[in-house]
Amino acid sequence: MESEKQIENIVIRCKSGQREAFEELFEHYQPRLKYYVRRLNSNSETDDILQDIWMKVFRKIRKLKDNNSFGVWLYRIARNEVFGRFRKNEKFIELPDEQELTEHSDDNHEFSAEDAKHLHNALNKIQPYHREVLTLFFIEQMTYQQIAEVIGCSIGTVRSRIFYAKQSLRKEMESNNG
Amino acid sequence: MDKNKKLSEELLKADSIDPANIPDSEHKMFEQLLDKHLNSGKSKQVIWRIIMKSNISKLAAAAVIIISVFMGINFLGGSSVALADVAKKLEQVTNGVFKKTTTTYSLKNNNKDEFDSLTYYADGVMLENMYRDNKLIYQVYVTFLKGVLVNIDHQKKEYGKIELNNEDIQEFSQLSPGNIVNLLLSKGEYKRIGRKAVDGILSDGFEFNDKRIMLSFDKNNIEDVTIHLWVDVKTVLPVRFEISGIVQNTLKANVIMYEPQWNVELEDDFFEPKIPEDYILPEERGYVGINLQNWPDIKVSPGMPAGKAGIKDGDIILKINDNIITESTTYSDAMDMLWGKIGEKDIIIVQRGEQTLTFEVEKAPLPK
Repeated sequence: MESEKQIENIVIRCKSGQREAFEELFEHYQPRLKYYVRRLNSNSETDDILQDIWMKVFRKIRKLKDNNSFGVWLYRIARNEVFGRFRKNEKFIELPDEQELTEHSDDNHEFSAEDAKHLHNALNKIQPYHREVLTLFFIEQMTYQQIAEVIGCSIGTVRSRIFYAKQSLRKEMESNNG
Repeated sequence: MDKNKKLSEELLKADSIDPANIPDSEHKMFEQLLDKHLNSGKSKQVIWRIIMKSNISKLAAAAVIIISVFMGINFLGGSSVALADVAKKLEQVTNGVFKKTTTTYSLKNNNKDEFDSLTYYADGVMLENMYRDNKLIYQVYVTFLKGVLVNIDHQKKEYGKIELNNEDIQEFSQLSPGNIVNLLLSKGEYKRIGRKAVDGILSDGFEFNDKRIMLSFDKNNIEDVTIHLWVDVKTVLPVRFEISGIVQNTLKANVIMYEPQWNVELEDDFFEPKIPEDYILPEERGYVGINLQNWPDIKVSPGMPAGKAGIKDGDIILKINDNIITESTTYSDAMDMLWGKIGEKDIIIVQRGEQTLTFEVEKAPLPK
Protein backbone atom coordinates (compact mmCIF):
# COMPACT_ATOMS: atom_id res chain seq x y z
CA MET A 1 0.00 0.00 0.00
CA GLU A 2 1.31 3.42 -0.83
CA SER A 3 2.58 5.67 1.91
CA GLU A 4 1.26 9.18 2.41
CA LYS A 5 4.34 10.64 0.78
CA GLN A 6 3.93 8.40 -2.22
CA ILE A 7 0.31 9.45 -2.56
CA GLU A 8 1.36 13.07 -2.41
CA ASN A 9 3.80 12.50 -5.25
CA ILE A 10 1.18 10.70 -7.28
CA VAL A 11 -1.23 13.59 -6.82
CA ILE A 12 1.40 16.06 -7.98
CA ARG A 13 1.92 13.99 -11.09
CA CYS A 14 -1.81 13.84 -11.69
CA LYS A 15 -1.95 17.61 -11.59
CA SER A 16 0.61 17.75 -14.35
CA GLY A 17 -1.66 15.52 -16.44
CA GLN A 18 0.19 12.23 -16.24
CA ARG A 19 -2.15 9.44 -17.16
CA GLU A 20 -0.20 6.83 -15.27
CA ALA A 21 -0.55 8.81 -12.08
CA PHE A 22 -4.35 8.75 -12.32
CA GLU A 23 -4.19 5.01 -12.85
CA GLU A 24 -2.06 4.61 -9.75
CA LEU A 25 -4.58 6.55 -7.68
CA PHE A 26 -7.33 4.35 -9.00
CA GLU A 27 -5.42 1.20 -8.15
CA HIS A 28 -4.80 2.47 -4.66
CA TYR A 29 -8.26 3.72 -3.71
CA GLN A 30 -10.84 1.92 -5.81
CA PRO A 31 -11.40 -1.20 -3.65
CA ARG A 32 -11.87 0.74 -0.43
CA LEU A 33 -13.84 3.48 -2.13
CA LYS A 34 -16.17 0.85 -3.48
CA TYR A 35 -16.62 -0.59 0.01
CA TYR A 36 -17.43 2.85 1.38
CA VAL A 37 -19.93 3.66 -1.35
CA ARG A 38 -21.66 0.34 -0.84
CA ARG A 39 -22.00 1.04 2.87
CA LEU A 40 -23.69 4.36 2.19
CA ASN A 41 -25.79 3.21 -0.70
CA SER A 42 -27.41 -0.18 -0.62
CA ASN A 43 -28.80 -0.33 -4.11
CA SER A 44 -27.19 -1.15 -7.39
CA GLU A 45 -25.99 2.32 -8.30
CA THR A 46 -22.50 1.75 -6.91
CA ASP A 47 -20.78 1.52 -10.30
CA ASP A 48 -22.48 4.67 -11.55
CA ILE A 49 -21.56 6.50 -8.39
CA LEU A 50 -17.93 5.41 -8.61
CA GLN A 51 -17.76 6.62 -12.20
CA ASP A 52 -19.10 10.02 -11.21
CA ILE A 53 -16.65 10.21 -8.33
CA TRP A 54 -13.66 9.58 -10.56
CA MET A 55 -14.88 12.03 -13.16
CA LYS A 56 -15.06 14.69 -10.48
CA VAL A 57 -11.58 13.77 -9.34
CA PHE A 58 -10.27 14.26 -12.88
CA ARG A 59 -11.93 17.62 -13.22
CA LYS A 60 -11.10 19.02 -9.84
CA ILE A 61 -7.77 17.59 -8.82
CA ARG A 62 -5.87 20.63 -9.99
CA LYS A 63 -7.81 22.69 -7.52
CA LEU A 64 -6.74 20.53 -4.58
CA LYS A 65 -4.59 22.81 -2.50
CA ASP A 66 -3.11 20.31 -0.08
CA ASN A 67 -1.73 17.30 -1.90
CA ASN A 68 -1.41 15.53 1.43
CA SER A 69 -5.14 15.54 1.95
CA PHE A 70 -6.15 13.75 -1.22
CA GLY A 71 -7.75 10.85 0.67
CA VAL A 72 -9.98 13.14 2.70
CA TRP A 73 -10.83 15.12 -0.40
CA LEU A 74 -11.68 11.97 -2.33
CA TYR A 75 -14.03 10.71 0.32
CA ARG A 76 -15.69 14.10 0.58
CA ILE A 77 -16.43 13.89 -3.12
CA ALA A 78 -17.71 10.34 -2.66
CA ARG A 79 -19.94 11.36 0.21
CA ASN A 80 -21.34 14.33 -1.65
CA GLU A 81 -21.99 12.16 -4.67
CA VAL A 82 -23.89 9.55 -2.68
CA PHE A 83 -25.88 12.04 -0.63
CA GLY A 84 -26.59 14.08 -3.71
CA ARG A 85 -28.36 11.08 -5.15
CA PHE A 86 -30.17 10.51 -1.91
CA ARG A 87 -31.53 14.03 -1.98
CA LYS A 88 -32.69 13.66 -5.54
CA ASN A 89 -34.43 10.41 -4.70
CA GLU A 90 -35.74 11.79 -1.43
CA LYS A 91 -33.83 9.17 0.48
CA PHE A 92 -31.74 11.56 2.45
CA ILE A 93 -31.64 10.68 6.09
CA GLU A 94 -31.21 13.48 8.55
CA LEU A 95 -28.34 12.93 10.92
CA PRO A 96 -29.23 13.06 14.58
CA ASP A 97 -27.95 15.73 16.88
CA GLU A 98 -25.49 13.91 19.09
CA GLN A 99 -24.04 15.30 22.20
CA GLU A 100 -20.31 15.32 22.28
CA LEU A 101 -18.74 13.08 24.90
CA THR A 102 -17.34 14.90 27.86
CA GLU A 103 -15.02 12.07 28.69
CA HIS A 104 -12.32 10.78 26.43
CA SER A 105 -13.59 7.75 24.63
CA ASP A 106 -11.72 4.57 24.07
CA ASP A 107 -9.79 5.15 20.88
CA ASN A 108 -8.37 1.67 20.50
CA HIS A 109 -10.55 -0.38 18.28
CA GLU A 110 -11.17 -3.78 19.70
CA PHE A 111 -11.77 -5.53 16.44
CA SER A 112 -9.32 -7.81 14.74
CA ALA A 113 -9.04 -9.27 11.29
CA GLU A 114 -10.58 -12.47 12.57
CA ASP A 115 -13.73 -10.50 13.35
CA ALA A 116 -13.93 -9.15 9.83
CA LYS A 117 -16.77 -11.27 8.54
CA HIS A 118 -18.98 -10.75 11.56
CA LEU A 119 -18.00 -7.14 11.68
CA HIS A 120 -18.93 -6.66 8.05
CA ASN A 121 -22.36 -8.23 8.57
CA ALA A 122 -22.99 -6.19 11.67
CA LEU A 123 -21.84 -3.01 9.95
CA ASN A 124 -24.62 -3.38 7.45
CA LYS A 125 -27.19 -3.51 10.20
CA ILE A 126 -26.32 -0.46 12.27
CA GLN A 127 -27.53 3.05 11.61
CA PRO A 128 -26.14 4.67 8.43
CA TYR A 129 -24.47 7.55 10.26
CA HIS A 130 -22.67 5.08 12.50
CA ARG A 131 -21.83 2.84 9.62
CA GLU A 132 -20.23 5.70 7.76
CA VAL A 133 -17.79 6.79 10.44
CA LEU A 134 -16.80 3.23 11.24
CA THR A 135 -16.21 2.47 7.59
CA LEU A 136 -13.86 5.42 7.25
CA PHE A 137 -12.22 4.41 10.51
CA PHE A 138 -11.70 0.76 9.61
CA ILE A 139 -11.19 0.89 5.88
CA GLU A 140 -8.96 3.92 5.51
CA GLN A 141 -7.69 4.08 9.09
CA MET A 142 -8.63 7.72 9.10
CA THR A 143 -7.96 9.81 12.15
CA TYR A 144 -10.82 11.56 13.92
CA GLN A 145 -9.66 14.81 12.36
CA GLN A 146 -9.77 13.33 8.89
CA ILE A 147 -13.19 11.80 9.45
CA ALA A 148 -14.42 15.15 10.73
CA GLU A 149 -13.21 16.78 7.52
CA VAL A 150 -14.92 14.19 5.37
CA ILE A 151 -18.30 14.39 7.04
CA GLY A 152 -18.09 18.06 7.92
CA CYS A 153 -18.39 18.10 11.66
CA SER A 154 -16.29 18.61 14.76
CA ILE A 155 -13.78 16.15 16.09
CA GLY A 156 -15.88 15.88 19.21
CA THR A 157 -18.86 14.77 17.19
CA VAL A 158 -16.74 12.20 15.41
CA ARG A 159 -15.40 10.92 18.69
CA SER A 160 -18.84 10.47 20.17
CA ARG A 161 -20.25 9.04 17.00
CA ILE A 162 -17.52 6.42 16.81
CA PHE A 163 -17.99 5.61 20.45
CA TYR A 164 -21.70 4.98 20.04
CA ALA A 165 -21.15 3.33 16.68
CA LYS A 166 -18.81 0.78 18.21
CA GLN A 167 -21.30 0.14 20.98
CA SER A 168 -23.97 -0.44 18.41
CA LEU A 169 -21.70 -2.64 16.36
CA ARG A 170 -20.68 -4.71 19.34
CA LYS A 171 -24.28 -5.19 20.33
CA GLU A 172 -25.14 -6.32 16.82
CA MET A 173 -22.25 -8.72 16.69
CA GLU A 174 -23.20 -10.18 20.06
CA SER A 175 -26.77 -10.64 19.00
CA ASN A 176 -25.59 -12.70 16.07
CA ASN A 177 -23.74 -15.10 18.35
CA GLY A 178 -25.54 -18.14 19.66
CA MET B 1 1.34 -6.31 8.15
CA ASP B 2 -0.18 -3.67 10.33
CA LYS B 3 -3.23 -5.19 12.04
CA ASN B 4 -5.44 -2.27 11.06
CA LYS B 5 -4.58 -2.74 7.41
CA LYS B 6 -5.20 -6.42 7.79
CA LEU B 7 -8.67 -5.75 9.18
CA SER B 8 -9.32 -3.37 6.31
CA GLU B 9 -8.37 -6.02 3.78
CA GLU B 10 -10.47 -8.68 5.47
CA LEU B 11 -13.49 -6.39 5.50
CA LEU B 12 -13.13 -5.91 1.78
CA LYS B 13 -12.92 -9.64 1.25
CA ALA B 14 -16.06 -10.10 3.35
CA ASP B 15 -17.78 -7.87 0.81
CA SER B 16 -16.33 -9.89 -2.09
CA ILE B 17 -13.90 -7.11 -2.97
CA ASP B 18 -10.37 -8.22 -3.73
CA PRO B 19 -8.14 -5.61 -2.08
CA ALA B 20 -5.25 -6.39 -4.42
CA ASN B 21 -6.95 -6.90 -7.77
CA ILE B 22 -9.50 -4.69 -9.40
CA PRO B 23 -11.85 -6.43 -11.84
CA ASP B 24 -11.24 -5.89 -15.55
CA SER B 25 -14.65 -4.30 -15.96
CA GLU B 26 -13.78 -1.59 -13.46
CA HIS B 27 -10.42 -1.04 -15.08
CA LYS B 28 -12.13 -0.68 -18.42
CA MET B 29 -14.64 1.78 -17.01
CA PHE B 30 -11.87 3.85 -15.54
CA GLU B 31 -9.78 3.86 -18.70
CA GLN B 32 -12.76 4.99 -20.73
CA LEU B 33 -13.45 7.80 -18.30
CA LEU B 34 -9.83 8.85 -18.32
CA ASP B 35 -9.70 8.78 -22.10
CA LYS B 36 -12.79 10.91 -22.26
CA HIS B 37 -11.38 13.37 -19.79
CA LEU B 38 -7.95 13.67 -21.33
CA ASN B 39 -9.33 13.92 -24.85
CA SER B 40 -11.93 16.51 -23.95
CA GLY B 41 -9.24 19.15 -24.42
CA LYS B 42 -9.77 19.01 -28.17
CA SER B 43 -13.00 20.90 -27.89
CA LYS B 44 -11.38 23.56 -25.82
CA GLN B 45 -9.36 25.00 -28.64
CA VAL B 46 -11.81 27.49 -29.87
CA ILE B 47 -11.97 30.52 -31.96
CA TRP B 48 -13.34 33.26 -29.80
CA ARG B 49 -13.99 36.87 -30.12
CA ILE B 50 -14.83 39.84 -28.09
CA ILE B 51 -17.99 41.58 -28.99
CA MET B 52 -18.04 44.96 -27.43
CA LYS B 53 -21.59 46.07 -27.46
CA SER B 54 -20.94 49.09 -25.33
CA ASN B 55 -18.59 51.88 -26.17
CA ILE B 56 -15.55 51.07 -24.18
CA SER B 57 -14.05 54.14 -25.72
CA LYS B 58 -14.91 56.43 -28.58
CA LEU B 59 -12.40 54.73 -30.83
CA ALA B 60 -13.28 51.19 -29.92
CA ALA B 61 -17.02 51.63 -30.33
CA ALA B 62 -17.19 49.90 -33.69
CA ALA B 63 -14.32 47.50 -33.15
CA VAL B 64 -14.98 43.81 -33.33
CA ILE B 65 -11.74 42.09 -32.73
CA ILE B 66 -11.56 38.59 -33.96
CA ILE B 67 -9.13 36.39 -32.14
CA SER B 68 -8.37 33.23 -33.95
CA VAL B 69 -7.03 29.99 -32.73
CA PHE B 70 -4.49 31.16 -30.20
CA MET B 71 -5.02 28.23 -27.99
CA GLY B 72 -5.34 25.48 -30.49
CA ILE B 73 -4.01 26.49 -33.83
CA ASN B 74 -3.01 23.55 -35.94
CA PHE B 75 -1.24 24.56 -39.01
CA LEU B 76 0.25 22.27 -41.50
CA GLY B 77 3.70 23.19 -42.35
CA GLY B 78 7.00 21.94 -43.45
CA SER B 79 7.03 19.65 -40.45
CA SER B 80 4.00 17.59 -39.59
CA VAL B 81 5.73 16.73 -36.34
CA ALA B 82 5.30 20.29 -35.15
CA LEU B 83 1.60 20.16 -35.80
CA ALA B 84 1.17 16.86 -34.05
CA ASP B 85 3.27 17.97 -31.11
CA VAL B 86 1.35 21.19 -30.61
CA ALA B 87 -1.97 19.39 -30.87
CA LYS B 88 -0.84 16.69 -28.48
CA LYS B 89 0.35 19.23 -25.96
CA LEU B 90 -2.82 21.25 -26.17
CA GLU B 91 -4.96 18.14 -25.69
CA GLN B 92 -3.73 18.07 -22.12
CA VAL B 93 -4.67 21.63 -21.51
CA THR B 94 -7.88 22.03 -19.55
CA ASN B 95 -7.71 25.77 -19.26
CA GLY B 96 -5.50 28.70 -19.94
CA VAL B 97 -5.07 32.35 -19.10
CA PHE B 98 -3.14 34.94 -20.99
CA LYS B 99 -2.52 38.64 -21.02
CA LYS B 100 -3.73 40.72 -23.88
CA THR B 101 -3.21 44.25 -25.05
CA THR B 102 -5.63 45.75 -27.54
CA THR B 103 -4.69 48.94 -29.32
CA THR B 104 -6.87 50.78 -31.76
CA TYR B 105 -6.00 53.72 -33.97
CA SER B 106 -8.55 55.85 -35.69
CA LEU B 107 -7.74 56.13 -39.38
CA LYS B 108 -9.37 59.53 -39.47
CA ASN B 109 -7.51 61.35 -36.75
CA ASN B 110 -4.97 58.77 -35.58
CA ASN B 111 -6.34 58.88 -32.04
CA LYS B 112 -5.12 55.93 -30.08
CA ASP B 113 -6.85 53.89 -27.46
CA GLU B 114 -5.48 50.98 -25.55
CA PHE B 115 -6.57 48.61 -22.86
CA ASP B 116 -5.21 45.52 -21.24
CA SER B 117 -7.05 42.36 -20.42
CA LEU B 118 -6.70 39.01 -18.83
CA THR B 119 -8.44 36.28 -20.77
CA TYR B 120 -9.38 32.93 -19.33
CA TYR B 121 -10.67 30.03 -21.31
CA ALA B 122 -11.77 26.47 -20.52
CA ASP B 123 -14.05 23.86 -21.98
CA GLY B 124 -16.61 25.82 -23.98
CA VAL B 125 -16.31 28.98 -21.90
CA MET B 126 -14.34 32.16 -21.87
CA LEU B 127 -13.95 35.18 -19.63
CA GLU B 128 -12.19 38.37 -20.55
CA ASN B 129 -11.48 40.99 -17.89
CA MET B 130 -10.54 44.37 -19.32
CA TYR B 131 -8.56 46.96 -17.44
CA ARG B 132 -7.67 50.56 -17.88
CA ASP B 133 -5.21 52.18 -15.52
CA ASN B 134 -5.21 48.91 -13.61
CA LYS B 135 -8.90 49.21 -12.89
CA LEU B 136 -11.36 46.55 -14.02
CA ILE B 137 -13.71 48.31 -16.38
CA TYR B 138 -15.38 45.63 -18.44
CA GLN B 139 -16.01 41.92 -18.47
CA VAL B 140 -17.19 39.53 -21.14
CA TYR B 141 -18.37 36.02 -20.28
CA VAL B 142 -19.00 33.63 -23.16
CA THR B 143 -20.52 30.18 -22.99
CA PHE B 144 -20.07 28.87 -26.51
CA LEU B 145 -22.20 25.78 -26.35
CA LYS B 146 -25.18 27.67 -24.97
CA GLY B 147 -24.49 30.52 -27.32
CA VAL B 148 -24.69 33.16 -24.63
CA LEU B 149 -22.52 36.18 -24.04
CA VAL B 150 -22.83 38.36 -20.95
CA ASN B 151 -21.06 41.68 -20.76
CA ILE B 152 -20.64 43.78 -17.65
CA ASP B 153 -19.67 47.43 -17.83
CA HIS B 154 -18.26 48.46 -14.49
CA GLN B 155 -17.96 52.08 -15.48
CA LYS B 156 -21.62 52.42 -16.32
CA LYS B 157 -22.80 49.78 -13.84
CA GLU B 158 -24.66 48.12 -16.67
CA TYR B 159 -24.79 44.61 -17.99
CA GLY B 160 -26.14 42.91 -21.06
CA LYS B 161 -26.86 39.47 -22.38
CA ILE B 162 -26.44 38.54 -26.01
CA GLU B 163 -27.50 35.33 -27.64
CA LEU B 164 -25.15 34.23 -30.36
CA ASN B 165 -26.86 33.29 -33.56
CA ASN B 166 -27.08 29.75 -34.83
CA GLU B 167 -24.35 30.32 -37.35
CA ASP B 168 -21.91 31.39 -34.67
CA ILE B 169 -22.89 28.54 -32.39
CA GLN B 170 -22.50 26.09 -35.24
CA GLU B 171 -19.08 27.45 -36.04
CA PHE B 172 -17.98 27.25 -32.44
CA SER B 173 -19.20 23.72 -32.06
CA GLN B 174 -17.19 22.60 -35.08
CA LEU B 175 -13.98 23.94 -33.78
CA SER B 176 -11.70 21.05 -33.16
CA PRO B 177 -8.04 20.95 -34.07
CA GLY B 178 -8.75 18.78 -37.08
CA ASN B 179 -11.40 21.10 -38.43
CA ILE B 180 -9.23 24.13 -37.84
CA VAL B 181 -6.43 22.49 -39.81
CA ASN B 182 -8.80 21.86 -42.70
CA LEU B 183 -10.08 25.39 -42.45
CA LEU B 184 -6.59 26.81 -42.66
CA LEU B 185 -5.59 24.48 -45.47
CA SER B 186 -8.67 25.14 -47.51
CA LYS B 187 -8.81 28.84 -47.00
CA GLY B 188 -5.42 30.26 -46.55
CA GLU B 189 -1.72 30.05 -46.76
CA TYR B 190 0.89 30.70 -44.20
CA LYS B 191 4.61 31.14 -44.12
CA ARG B 192 7.34 30.68 -41.58
CA ILE B 193 8.83 33.92 -40.41
CA GLY B 194 11.89 32.63 -38.64
CA ARG B 195 13.13 31.87 -35.20
CA LYS B 196 13.81 34.39 -32.48
CA ALA B 197 13.49 35.02 -28.78
CA VAL B 198 9.94 36.13 -28.01
CA ASP B 199 9.31 37.32 -24.46
CA GLY B 200 12.63 35.68 -23.63
CA ILE B 201 11.65 32.33 -25.13
CA LEU B 202 13.21 30.90 -28.28
CA SER B 203 10.30 30.55 -30.68
CA ASP B 204 9.39 29.70 -34.25
CA GLY B 205 7.11 32.14 -35.99
CA PHE B 206 4.32 31.66 -38.49
CA GLU B 207 2.38 34.25 -40.43
CA PHE B 208 -1.18 34.00 -41.72
CA ASN B 209 -2.81 36.63 -43.88
CA ASP B 210 -6.10 35.18 -44.92
CA LYS B 211 -8.97 36.87 -43.13
CA ARG B 212 -11.20 33.92 -43.92
CA ILE B 213 -9.83 32.16 -40.89
CA MET B 214 -11.86 34.69 -38.98
CA LEU B 215 -15.42 34.08 -37.96
CA SER B 216 -18.04 34.45 -40.59
CA PHE B 217 -19.99 37.58 -40.00
CA ASP B 218 -16.93 39.64 -39.18
CA LYS B 219 -15.02 38.74 -42.29
CA ASN B 220 -16.73 41.42 -44.31
CA ASN B 221 -15.68 44.11 -41.88
CA ILE B 222 -12.04 43.23 -41.59
CA GLU B 223 -9.27 43.85 -44.10
CA ASP B 224 -5.48 43.63 -44.26
CA VAL B 225 -5.29 40.91 -41.69
CA THR B 226 -1.91 39.78 -40.47
CA ILE B 227 -1.51 37.11 -37.84
CA HIS B 228 1.74 36.07 -36.27
CA LEU B 229 1.91 33.01 -34.08
CA TRP B 230 5.03 32.26 -32.08
CA VAL B 231 5.58 28.77 -30.73
CA ASP B 232 8.07 27.85 -28.05
CA VAL B 233 10.69 25.67 -29.72
CA LYS B 234 11.18 23.66 -26.55
CA THR B 235 7.66 23.11 -25.25
CA VAL B 236 5.89 23.41 -28.63
CA LEU B 237 3.21 25.54 -27.02
CA PRO B 238 2.13 28.99 -28.20
CA VAL B 239 3.85 31.87 -26.46
CA ARG B 240 2.61 34.88 -28.37
CA PHE B 241 -0.11 35.69 -30.81
CA GLU B 242 -0.35 38.96 -32.69
CA ILE B 243 -3.13 40.02 -34.96
CA SER B 244 -3.69 43.24 -36.80
CA GLY B 245 -6.34 44.37 -39.18
CA ILE B 246 -8.48 47.20 -40.43
CA VAL B 247 -11.99 47.16 -39.01
CA GLN B 248 -14.84 48.71 -40.96
CA ASN B 249 -12.33 50.87 -42.83
CA THR B 250 -12.18 53.23 -39.89
CA LEU B 251 -10.05 51.61 -37.29
CA LYS B 252 -6.72 49.87 -37.24
CA ALA B 253 -6.62 47.33 -34.48
CA ASN B 254 -3.71 45.43 -33.00
CA VAL B 255 -4.15 42.67 -30.52
CA ILE B 256 -1.30 40.92 -28.77
CA MET B 257 -1.80 37.90 -26.58
CA TYR B 258 1.16 36.85 -24.53
CA GLU B 259 2.49 35.19 -21.38
CA PRO B 260 0.06 32.27 -21.42
CA GLN B 261 -0.35 30.03 -18.41
CA TRP B 262 -1.89 26.62 -18.71
CA ASN B 263 -3.99 24.48 -16.37
CA VAL B 264 -4.41 27.10 -13.72
CA GLU B 265 -6.53 26.66 -10.61
CA LEU B 266 -9.92 28.23 -11.04
CA GLU B 267 -12.98 28.14 -8.80
CA ASP B 268 -15.90 26.01 -9.92
CA ASP B 269 -18.07 29.02 -10.67
CA PHE B 270 -15.31 31.08 -12.21
CA PHE B 271 -16.99 31.32 -15.59
CA GLU B 272 -20.42 32.17 -14.25
CA PRO B 273 -21.20 35.86 -14.73
CA LYS B 274 -21.15 37.73 -11.45
CA ILE B 275 -23.34 40.76 -11.92
CA PRO B 276 -23.44 43.16 -8.97
CA GLU B 277 -26.94 43.50 -7.60
CA ASP B 278 -27.22 47.18 -8.31
CA TYR B 279 -26.22 46.92 -11.96
CA ILE B 280 -28.92 47.43 -14.54
CA LEU B 281 -29.63 46.69 -18.16
CA PRO B 282 -28.90 49.62 -20.47
CA GLU B 283 -32.59 50.03 -21.29
CA GLU B 284 -33.41 50.33 -17.59
CA ARG B 285 -31.13 53.28 -17.07
CA GLY B 286 -32.71 56.61 -16.48
CA TYR B 287 -31.30 60.09 -16.95
CA VAL B 288 -32.09 63.47 -15.50
CA GLY B 289 -30.65 65.28 -18.49
CA ILE B 290 -27.78 67.27 -16.99
CA ASN B 291 -24.61 67.41 -19.04
CA LEU B 292 -21.64 67.17 -16.67
CA GLN B 293 -18.83 67.25 -19.21
CA ASN B 294 -17.57 70.60 -17.98
CA TRP B 295 -18.13 69.84 -14.34
CA PRO B 296 -18.72 71.66 -12.05
CA ASP B 297 -20.39 73.78 -14.74
CA ILE B 298 -23.58 72.14 -15.91
CA LYS B 299 -25.66 72.30 -19.02
CA VAL B 300 -29.23 71.15 -19.16
CA SER B 301 -30.34 68.94 -22.05
CA PRO B 302 -33.46 70.24 -23.76
CA GLY B 303 -36.59 68.21 -23.30
CA MET B 304 -35.17 66.19 -20.43
CA PRO B 305 -36.45 65.98 -16.84
CA ALA B 306 -33.94 68.39 -15.24
CA GLY B 307 -34.83 71.14 -17.70
CA LYS B 308 -38.53 70.45 -17.38
CA ALA B 309 -38.26 70.63 -13.60
CA GLY B 310 -36.70 74.08 -13.86
CA ILE B 311 -32.95 73.55 -13.56
CA LYS B 312 -31.06 75.90 -15.86
CA ASP B 313 -27.63 76.16 -17.47
CA GLY B 314 -25.15 77.70 -15.07
CA ASP B 315 -26.92 76.57 -11.90
CA ILE B 316 -24.42 75.43 -9.30
CA ILE B 317 -25.34 72.06 -7.87
CA LEU B 318 -25.07 72.04 -4.07
CA LYS B 319 -26.58 68.68 -3.23
CA ILE B 320 -27.82 65.58 -5.01
CA ASN B 321 -30.08 63.54 -2.72
CA ASP B 322 -27.98 63.00 0.43
CA ASN B 323 -24.72 63.93 -1.24
CA ILE B 324 -23.33 67.38 -0.54
CA ILE B 325 -21.23 68.72 -3.39
CA THR B 326 -17.85 70.05 -2.37
CA GLU B 327 -14.77 71.26 -4.18
CA SER B 328 -13.42 67.76 -4.18
CA THR B 329 -16.49 66.26 -5.83
CA THR B 330 -15.41 65.08 -9.24
CA TYR B 331 -17.25 64.58 -12.49
CA SER B 332 -17.25 60.82 -11.84
CA ASP B 333 -18.66 61.35 -8.37
CA ALA B 334 -21.47 63.43 -9.77
CA MET B 335 -22.16 60.84 -12.45
CA ASP B 336 -22.40 58.16 -9.76
CA MET B 337 -24.77 60.30 -7.72
CA LEU B 338 -27.09 60.70 -10.67
CA TRP B 339 -26.88 57.07 -11.81
CA GLY B 340 -30.09 55.11 -11.52
CA LYS B 341 -33.14 53.54 -13.10
CA ILE B 342 -35.96 55.05 -15.06
CA GLY B 343 -38.58 56.39 -12.69
CA GLU B 344 -36.27 57.02 -9.75
CA LYS B 345 -36.50 60.51 -8.30
CA ASP B 346 -33.60 62.73 -7.35
CA ILE B 347 -33.69 65.78 -5.13
CA ILE B 348 -31.27 68.31 -6.57
CA ILE B 349 -30.47 71.56 -4.74
CA VAL B 350 -28.82 74.34 -6.74
CA GLN B 351 -27.49 77.83 -6.20
CA ARG B 352 -28.76 80.37 -8.71
CA GLY B 353 -27.42 83.81 -7.98
CA GLU B 354 -28.62 84.63 -4.46
CA GLN B 355 -31.24 81.89 -4.45
CA THR B 356 -31.06 78.32 -3.25
CA LEU B 357 -33.55 76.22 -5.14
CA THR B 358 -34.74 72.63 -4.68
CA PHE B 359 -35.97 70.44 -7.50
CA GLU B 360 -37.39 66.95 -7.64
CA VAL B 361 -36.39 65.28 -10.90
CA GLU B 362 -37.66 61.94 -12.11
CA LYS B 363 -35.25 59.98 -14.31
CA ALA B 364 -36.38 59.27 -17.82
CA PRO B 365 -35.02 57.19 -20.70
CA LEU B 366 -32.83 58.91 -23.24
CA PRO B 367 -34.88 60.26 -26.11
CA LYS B 368 -34.71 58.05 -29.21
